[in-house]
Amino acid sequence: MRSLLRPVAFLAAILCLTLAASAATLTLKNGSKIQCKVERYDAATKTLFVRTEAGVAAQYTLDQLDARSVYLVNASLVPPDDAQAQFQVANFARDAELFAHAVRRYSQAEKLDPALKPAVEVEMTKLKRAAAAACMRNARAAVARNDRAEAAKWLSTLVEKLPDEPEAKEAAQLLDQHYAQVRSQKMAAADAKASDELKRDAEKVRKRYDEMVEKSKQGLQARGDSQARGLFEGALADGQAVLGELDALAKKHSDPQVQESAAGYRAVVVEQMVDVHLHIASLETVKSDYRGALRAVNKALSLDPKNERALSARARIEEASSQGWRRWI
Amino acid sequence: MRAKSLLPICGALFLWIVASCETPSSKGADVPCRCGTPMADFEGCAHPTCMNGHRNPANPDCVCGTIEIPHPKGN
Repeated sequence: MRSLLRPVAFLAAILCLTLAASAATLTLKNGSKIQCKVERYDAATKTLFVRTEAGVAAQYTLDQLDARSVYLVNASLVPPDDAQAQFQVANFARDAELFAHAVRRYSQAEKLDPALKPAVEVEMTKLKRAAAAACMRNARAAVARNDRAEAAKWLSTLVEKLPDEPEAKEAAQLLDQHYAQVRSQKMAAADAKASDELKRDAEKVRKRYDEMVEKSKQGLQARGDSQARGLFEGALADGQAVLGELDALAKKHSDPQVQESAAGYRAVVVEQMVDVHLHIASLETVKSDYRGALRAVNKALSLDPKNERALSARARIEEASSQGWRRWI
Repeated sequence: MRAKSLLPICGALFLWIVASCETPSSKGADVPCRCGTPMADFEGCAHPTCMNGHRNPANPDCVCGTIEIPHPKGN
């Protein structure tokens, strides 16, 4: 216990140490710019302490700053091999809600100085709390402007990536109101382009697709990994069956227009299957099984080789795997 | 003698072929820069420039990597 307390106490003491004191331009939210040297960032009060060109000490709270521009400028001034400075910049990035940047810098700080590990753990806990709150805020904002797809995206992200945060439970419940609706809208759009005959023939497709969506949603809402995995695998089996049905339909109708409509149904089904593979990849990533995560993402890419989300996920997994960074995919 | 003089050319050709057949890294391939969007701030941007730790000059909202701070003359 004492061995843990020592680095924590040491870090508490150095938390107010100065950042690299190089000239920087700070942009405030009101648009004005200030030439100054950043002296330190106090995470407890979310305040940046600076010295102006005239040598006057000044301070700005995060609320006053254009945090993105301040991060951009100051992150560049911090020596990449200075663990303490990386740690402080990580705190700033977290408070500015640049979560991915914060995670990357915490990992870097810990790599440079393994004694920082306990302090990084403490800050990562705060980061996860803040990230979960931000996800929920984004989901609520999307609901307020009636953007169900965006809401479902944030809710799924929260459930997948921050399953242990208190907001995850509420997000899982809220998925009931948005997840299936977004997908049935996509199927309805495909229906609208189909002829009456094809629509009749596609009845089985729709039914099995709904089952796939329901299993996907339940997988996201499941509390245990194995239950979630089982539901996701079930959803993929449904998806595969739907693709088989669509192949049969395409063979039955030789009319190019019908073929095109069938392709519309196929795109909706493939998109959902890609989603499910990415849900599985997230499950694996949370367990730090990068190989398993890559396997799942590659399956998604075999269905849709240009899928942006799958390509992004693969790049992030490869990076996390090669750099030994914390799980945050 | 002629065969000996061809050796370096063949070697260079072989290396070129090997290099061009090498599987390119999938790191960020075909991924647009999403920096500045809430989702990219949350999960990170997978654009190749960002993944390599550099700022993407094509996106003003990109805050990846480092930038050069121009120092005023005389400093």
